[in-house]
Amino acid sequence: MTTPELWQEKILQLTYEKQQLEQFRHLNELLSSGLAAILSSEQHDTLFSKLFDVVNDVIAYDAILIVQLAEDQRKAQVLASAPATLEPAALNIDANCPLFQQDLNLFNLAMLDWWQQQLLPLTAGYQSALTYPLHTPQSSYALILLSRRLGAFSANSAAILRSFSTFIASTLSQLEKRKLQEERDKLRAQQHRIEQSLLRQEKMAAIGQLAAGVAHELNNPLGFIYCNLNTLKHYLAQYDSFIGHSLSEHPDLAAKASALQLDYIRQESQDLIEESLAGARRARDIINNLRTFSHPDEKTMQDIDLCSLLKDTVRIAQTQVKHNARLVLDLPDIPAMLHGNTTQLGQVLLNLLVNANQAITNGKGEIRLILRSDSGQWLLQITDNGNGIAEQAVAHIFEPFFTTKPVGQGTGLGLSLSRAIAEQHGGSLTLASTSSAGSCFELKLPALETR
Amino acid sequence: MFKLLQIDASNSQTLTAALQSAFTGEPASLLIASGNVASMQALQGLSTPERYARNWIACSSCLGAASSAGVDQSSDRRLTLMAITDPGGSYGVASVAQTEGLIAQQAAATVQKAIARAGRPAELPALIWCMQAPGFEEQIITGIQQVVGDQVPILGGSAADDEVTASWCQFDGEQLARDLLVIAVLYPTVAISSYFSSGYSNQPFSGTVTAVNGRRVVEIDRKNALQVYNGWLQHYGLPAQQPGQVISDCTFYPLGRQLAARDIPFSLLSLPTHIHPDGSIETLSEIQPGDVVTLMSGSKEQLVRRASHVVKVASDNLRLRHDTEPAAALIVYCAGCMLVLRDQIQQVQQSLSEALPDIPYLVAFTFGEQGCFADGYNRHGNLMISALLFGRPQQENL
Repeated sequence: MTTPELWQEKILQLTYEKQQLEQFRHLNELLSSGLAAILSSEQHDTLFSKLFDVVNDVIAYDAILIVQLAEDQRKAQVLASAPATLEPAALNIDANCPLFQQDLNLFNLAMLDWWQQQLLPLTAGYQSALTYPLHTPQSSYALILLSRRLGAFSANSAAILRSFSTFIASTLSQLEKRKLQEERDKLRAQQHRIEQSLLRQEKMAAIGQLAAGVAHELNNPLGFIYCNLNTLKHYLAQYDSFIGHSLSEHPDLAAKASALQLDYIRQESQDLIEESLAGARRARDIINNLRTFSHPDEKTMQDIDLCSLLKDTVRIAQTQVKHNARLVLDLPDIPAMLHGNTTQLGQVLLNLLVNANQAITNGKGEIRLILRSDSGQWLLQITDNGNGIAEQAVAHIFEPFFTTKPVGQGTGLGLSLSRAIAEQHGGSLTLASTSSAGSCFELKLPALETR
Repeated sequence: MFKLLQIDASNSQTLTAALQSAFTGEPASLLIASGNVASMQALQGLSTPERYARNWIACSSCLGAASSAGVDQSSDRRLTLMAITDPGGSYGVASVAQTEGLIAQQAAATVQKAIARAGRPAELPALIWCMQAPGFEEQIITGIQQVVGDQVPILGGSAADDEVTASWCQFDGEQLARDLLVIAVLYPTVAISSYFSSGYSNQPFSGTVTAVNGRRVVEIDRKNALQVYNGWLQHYGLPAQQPGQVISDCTFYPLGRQLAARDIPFSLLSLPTHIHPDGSIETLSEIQPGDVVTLMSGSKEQLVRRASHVVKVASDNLRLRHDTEPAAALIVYCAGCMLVLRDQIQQVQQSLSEALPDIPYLVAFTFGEQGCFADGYNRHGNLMISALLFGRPQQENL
């Protein structure tokens, strides 16, 4: 062999080897730069799009997808794909599918029955595929590269994909890690809410006991204050009658009476008694309400007038609401009788009122309560003109521990408990409407006559 | 996993006895066999070939085969076999009697059948190894690629006889015939590497083929092909070729089609076998009108050295790409080259043994070689050497 030919063949061989080395170098660069890019991706979609770009740099494909096995190992779903025309869909493939068992270089998909049965129409129009199974601590995946060309992927492409497998598995682990972190944060927030709720409940129980004790202790002195005031009112009436009678029989006392301003005293004394009696009645009502809300026997079911319960609740809520909104009651003329637990239903009404009040932030709100009879049920509509509920929150408002309030300020239990109580009473609690102009909740409870 | 056997094939009885002694356990996954035509005849009387291997592929080799165990003499009656036992891999063989005009379709159907027999439907094999009667190799490659695409290496050789009398034969595990196309598909558990090269030198004489008739080159630069060829030879003081068989005379001066692999030009060789009375040159591979052909030259020294050179390149690739050492090799070496080197063929075997120390290898001397060039394309050529190396099983690499 002559020297020039020897050199030519040597150059060909060295060129071939150089290209191999360059390919490895290129791969290493891609792996390091790609991994950095992927790790810096915050968004799910960006992460996969960067991963697919890296793969496409070394293996030409027409489409790519990652299929994830479901937790029950009986179905799978497309986790990510490119182009977007490959719509994510549930796939009828289980853990025994070859995709999850081994890497495959498939030159003609039409020859493969299981592929045709299980992966069409997702991969319709593609002729060959290169697949690789990936297993992470959390799940099983299959990476699938598709080509419209017959036998498009070489053994070299398969080897490159194999060398990429750790990289791709790292990407998926990264994704899983993020999901776990999100789950962990969610659980932590939930745990915090539960702890807050327990604290609150304990506090409420203590306050309830204290209130019951105070109510009991106040009830007796208030009883004789009220009783004495009535007696005093009666005595004063007698004094007043006697003074009137004396002045008419002895006109000479008129000057003396005038000097003592007896007319004024007589009138003022009656007013003072009336005001004191009104104050005593109000104090009695407050004590009665406190006793109702802190009643230890919550299972007691009795016939209740929903109108009265509503008025009592409004009275309690009024202290909070009056600076923020106007309460408008539209109640039927007849008692709205139903069979239920006063404490629990009072809690539902108070909760709905407090929520409506909190939705109003401009201090000029209106909360309208309309109670109507509706097909054997009492329908209470509580409508506010507040800010409404965010669209993404609507689906979750009745879920336990869901709250839009900052951690520590809401238990996320109010609406879920209210719905549970309504349902225990054979009724329902729903969000009828919400918008930026306000929200409307509907509470339905069976009327007594139909039971 | 790889075992090389030299087996007495004087007749079917001795062959059976030798096989029974060599294969006592599970049959091999694939047996690749070669030997001269006389030795191959013994396969015809083999009653239970499946007892020794699930798949067979064999073809006759000019004057016998060579291997890590030595070189056959034309008088030897023995077969050289490479047994691959790879339970974790998959292998399938299928064959068809070649029918002119239908070759591509036949090759397509046969490779599909082989893949089905390997039990890996639609899965791309790591390698396709084919052995066939000479004549239609380009169409065979076309047919195979119609099914599997162009990303799988196709290697192999065309059966040869001792005196170019078309008495060559092929064996598929069931039948021995002169006109078979036998295709094996391999899904081994080990890495593979291949290289395909000639090692001939370009000479400064070239022309464009302007007329062909099948595998006959009729005109070069619109002139009679023989006149042009003889004109080129004249520059070297070589005698002009006359109509008749010229295979030995032309071995050192074949025609080369100019191609390029990754910007480096290389030549695919076509060996003249016959000069026809009309001055057309028949070759062992197809040349198309428009192809630029160059006079190539080789030497005995080149032919001795290049076998080990090709094996070395394939070994380097195996190390570079798969981080493994060779465990076995299959080599197809042009019979035309072997014939002109007959006295020095031992040197070729020795250089191969040096390049593949203590590694079993089988060499078939063929009338046409198929392989995958550095540019990634599968081609059929003459005066070529095609080497396939198998890497070591993974635990052996540890």
